Amino acid sequence: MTETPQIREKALSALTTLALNDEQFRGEAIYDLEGTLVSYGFSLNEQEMQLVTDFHSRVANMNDEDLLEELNSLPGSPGGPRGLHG
Amino acid sequence: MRLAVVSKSSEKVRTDDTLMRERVERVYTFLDELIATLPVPSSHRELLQVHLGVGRKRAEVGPKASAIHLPLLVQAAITGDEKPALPVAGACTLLYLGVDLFDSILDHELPPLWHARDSGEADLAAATLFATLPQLSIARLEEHGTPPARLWTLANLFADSLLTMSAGQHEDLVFPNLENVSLEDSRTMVERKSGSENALFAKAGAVLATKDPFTIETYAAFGLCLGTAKQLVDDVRDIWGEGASRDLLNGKRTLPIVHALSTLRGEQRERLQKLLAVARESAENHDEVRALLAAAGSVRYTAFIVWLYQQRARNHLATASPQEPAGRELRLLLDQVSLLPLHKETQPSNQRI
Repeated sequence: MTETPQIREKALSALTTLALNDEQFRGEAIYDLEGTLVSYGFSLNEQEMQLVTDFHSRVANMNDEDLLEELNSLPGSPGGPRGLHG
Repeated sequence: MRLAVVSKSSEKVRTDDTLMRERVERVYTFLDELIATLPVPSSHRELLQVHLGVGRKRAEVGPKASAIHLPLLVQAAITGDEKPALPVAGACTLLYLGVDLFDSILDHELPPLWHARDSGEADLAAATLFATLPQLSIARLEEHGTPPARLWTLANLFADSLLTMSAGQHEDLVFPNLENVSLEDSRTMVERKSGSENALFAKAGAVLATKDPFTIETYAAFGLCLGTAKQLVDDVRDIWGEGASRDLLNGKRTLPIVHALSTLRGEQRERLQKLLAVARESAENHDEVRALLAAAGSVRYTAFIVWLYQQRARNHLATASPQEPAGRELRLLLDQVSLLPLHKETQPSNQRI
């Protein structure tokens, strides 16, 4: 079975901490995630950066309204039928 | 070719759904039998059955409850056979149902099955479901030769987890009255309240299956990240779902709300603060709250945090090296926890028909 690419746990943990505690990181990352990671000294390998780019490309051109409209069409998503809690 | 791909995906989707429903049925049948044998008056057994009925009804709509699937799948991921973990899944489901009922009581939103009952009965049932019955379910493992030391480990695990969840729930209760709740505070609360619940479900399955502490803690970490991500998705769903937002009515400080309060400035922030206070009284201003949260980019931000937790869960699962096919089902549970639109090619096939 092909191994699914992953981002190292240390990087993810650091990103989570930054996203929660660093206002400047938050402001910059949502618009230019790849550039912000580089400016904050993250050194991701090609596969890791591909995952980041993939995530960012899925939200980059969408504002919150667009995102919610897209999600509203899926069951269990915001606006869709509420599934089982938990 | 495209239709064939869709058909194979359909079959896989139906098979996964069937597996889940069969698992749900096995656990609820086990719980029915457990409650039927309790040495208490039948009226008390009926009381305890009420919220099992609520859980069963919900499972008909969406059979993906972590309390049922995580302990069974983790057991199977380690040993290749999920059946020995049935009493553990029973214990996890009882705890989940008890906490869920307690949550409903705190939010003043009891399900219809409870409307004919006194509120004191709901309080009593919640306490019994999460504090007493899980131990009786775990005790059933003794019949299958589980050593006493492992039973004690499991009992301690449930107690420790419930304590952590209680602390998270307490934070959730007091946050509406605090002046400043940070994003880190909000995250910690979610990890305690919901992440640790799913950590328990995964860890309990692992404790039964192995003595290896690394494997046990890796599955616990997987459960924590999965549970945290799921709660964050639920928090977005609550604000933007159909009808009034329960969290806005209860003044909750969920991540999207805390993010908006941390991001907006000047008049917008003041307006949001005023609206959040008013939103507790009626749903009239909920749309304006939603608009301000969207203006702050709170959905995209929460989607990013969910994605981070999803990636961390993926890492932990890969590290645990689960056996197949349990590994595939665990990855499937994780894939479905996201605020991002699915890639078109991975959308469930029934979406395309």
